[in-house]
Amino acid sequence: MKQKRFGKWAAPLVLAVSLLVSACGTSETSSVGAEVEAKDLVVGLTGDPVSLDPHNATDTISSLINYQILDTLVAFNDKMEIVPRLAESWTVSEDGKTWTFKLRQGVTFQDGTPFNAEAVKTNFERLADKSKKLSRRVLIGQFIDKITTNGDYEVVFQLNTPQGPFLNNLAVTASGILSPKSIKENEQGIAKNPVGTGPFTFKEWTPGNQVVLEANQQYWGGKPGVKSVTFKPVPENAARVIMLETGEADVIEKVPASEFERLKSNDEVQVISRPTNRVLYIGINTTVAPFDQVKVRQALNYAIDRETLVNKLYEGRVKLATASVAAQTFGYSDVGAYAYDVEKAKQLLQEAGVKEGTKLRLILAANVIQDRPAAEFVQNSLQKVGFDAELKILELGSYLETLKDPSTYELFVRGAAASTGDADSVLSDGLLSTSATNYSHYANPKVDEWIKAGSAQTKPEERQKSYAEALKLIKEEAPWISLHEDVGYVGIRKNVEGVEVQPTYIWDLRKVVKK
Amino acid sequence: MLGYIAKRLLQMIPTLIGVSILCFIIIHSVPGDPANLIAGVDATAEEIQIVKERLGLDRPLYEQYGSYVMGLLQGDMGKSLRSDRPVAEELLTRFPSTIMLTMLSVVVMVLVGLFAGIMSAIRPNSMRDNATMMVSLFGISMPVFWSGIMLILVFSYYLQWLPSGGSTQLKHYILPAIALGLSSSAVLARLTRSSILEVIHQDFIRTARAKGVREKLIIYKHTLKNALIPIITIVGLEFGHLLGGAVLTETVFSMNGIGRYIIQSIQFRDYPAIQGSILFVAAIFVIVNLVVDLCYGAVDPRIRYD
Repeated sequence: MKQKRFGKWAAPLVLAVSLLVSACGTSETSSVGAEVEAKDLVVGLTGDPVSLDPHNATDTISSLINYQILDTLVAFNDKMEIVPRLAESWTVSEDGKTWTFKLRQGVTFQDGTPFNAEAVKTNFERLADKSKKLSRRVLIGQFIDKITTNGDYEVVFQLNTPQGPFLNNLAVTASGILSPKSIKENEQGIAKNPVGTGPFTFKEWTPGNQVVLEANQQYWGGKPGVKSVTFKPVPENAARVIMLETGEADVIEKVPASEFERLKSNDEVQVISRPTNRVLYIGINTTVAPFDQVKVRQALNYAIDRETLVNKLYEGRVKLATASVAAQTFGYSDVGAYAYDVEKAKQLLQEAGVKEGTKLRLILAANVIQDRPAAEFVQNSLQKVGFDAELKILELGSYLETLKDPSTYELFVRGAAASTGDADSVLSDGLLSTSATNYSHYANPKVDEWIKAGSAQTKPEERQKSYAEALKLIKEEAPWISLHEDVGYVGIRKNVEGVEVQPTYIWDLRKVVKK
Repeated sequence: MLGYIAKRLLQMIPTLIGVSILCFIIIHSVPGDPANLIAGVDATAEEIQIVKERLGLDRPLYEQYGSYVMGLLQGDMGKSLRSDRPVAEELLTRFPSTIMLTMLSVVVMVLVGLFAGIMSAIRPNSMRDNATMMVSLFGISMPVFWSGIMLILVFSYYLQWLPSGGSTQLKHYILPAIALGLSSSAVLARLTRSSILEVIHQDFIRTARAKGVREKLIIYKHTLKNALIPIITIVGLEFGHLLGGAVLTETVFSMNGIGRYIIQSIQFRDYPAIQGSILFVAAIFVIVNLVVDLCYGAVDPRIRYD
């Protein structure tokens, strides 16, 4: 009796819930159907952008979004070579200090104002102004002496010192050209509403929710193949992958390796891999014994079986690193990887007087999940040649704090990403003795000399030579254990074509089409 | 009654001051430099220095705290170090989805928890009771992020009935509210069961039965009403738990709420944003507790507020 009464309650409850669920289900399918008609592209990213002011933003996500809104004077092609964009041609003076650019004519900003030499001048004068405290001033701004215009479509950069990587630095989003009207009228507002000449116009940004861009029908390079692009922050890897599979997202970044096999069986999606110019390496703190000895550092290099690391652990998805910079970087030359030779490693360690059981701490930032297998592999390999290696996985903030105090670590895992596609950005940052981010504290006057020469020369052949010398010396002295060149994974639904993924993790959506 | 409410609201002030000081000490003792994190992992020393100067992080700590408290007293929660937007604005845009999720989870929790608890208590130690309690033990032990992923797998991936993430429409809230509400409903079910069992053996229930009062009336009027005090207490406490649980749920379901904002702020050592969010959540929790205390009086007229 009693039971039956409660049974009566349960049935309508279940019915109500299932009705509610199925009602929502139908509305969902109809809205997805409408999206296909309108060709709106949805992109799932790992987070929200920080600031859409290109001259101030330092994170990849902000740059990736801005790359669709803005144009740069020059750009990278898929081989990371410099090609014209807003500038049609350029010349450089013999001393490497005067750069003259001829600009494209008939280009207008998204707010209707014309693009001309004056616009370029306004942008780079903003970047050069020290009082504005823009984060990306270091790239170009600090080298600018003065900028002059010569008619409407010619602009001349006068630099205070010759700059080898100048064109590469001009090609990154941080050198994107903003509408001078937006700079003059609402400079504070740029971070929330950038206006450029690019293929997509900024529409709205609800923080934490989405950034929406609309196609710029007047784009000088031809109007884009989709009506709009919506960038959504989806930090959870599994949730992002499911969004791709259900069609809630058309393109997602950073597909975790654990999902590859499963996604292969799905006919509607594909995972494309693109080589990046990030070299994963183990940095060696050269200030502490016994790692201040070259022999010991070489021994560490001989102790790692890179072939197994690349082909077994990463299943051949990554590429063996053959220098401290990646192959798709200007200034790269193949200096070769260390061979795997345990006997030689042990012998070198013996010669250097390193005792069995010497302790070492290897630190790793917890947020870069793809590097963890490599770190564990290195830990294991070093234990095999007699070190007592401890792997410390630290949250990003404490990882960076730890790096500031050389007495707290012996080895560190880090990626050297050439964000400008030029060897200068990796070498001056990580191996120049005066650099604050040289966490190996490696100091070699000869290496310094070559790195500085490469940055000051403007003839590509000369620069190439300087970097080749630097890379050779670095391999010999072994402040790093270079492991492999990283690969970026982008998940795309099969009805989407034309997403161009650059080795710097930036995507170009100028040619994207959704069927 | 009004005097009581006023007194309780005034008591909030020292609580929140305590929270702010504790929070300040804790977040500043965690290693990590916001300027470095904001400038990026590959930032050069110069870039980091520029960020430091721009954000005023080069000033001594006491000065930073001083100006933060001064701002707070004037109703200004400061600006986020990372996005440069006012913290109050950041919180207000995210608050609706968090409160909506929490409310819906409370609804799920009360509906399911109360129902299951009553069902078990009516026939203690029966098969049905044991099964319900087993399931609720499973519910308590199941982490929200796991049940969340499972719900996404079934309802978004296989059945494609509901979206896997987002927070703009009502349908976005159904799965997260179920994931979050179910785990708490298990706690509620167990508590409801034991508190009903306590009441059901008392003399006045036996008297009611002897008088021939209908069983339904005995359960819902006489027993449940008397068993309600501990249940309300746990609902209030669980409300706080749900606010905390929203942190994980929002991440799993890509919802734009305060929970995810806190995680993101902690990752970037965004001090004003962390402090602002913690204060905000603490204030809500204190207010919910006040409401719970007022509910006691409504349920049991013997409770008075002086």
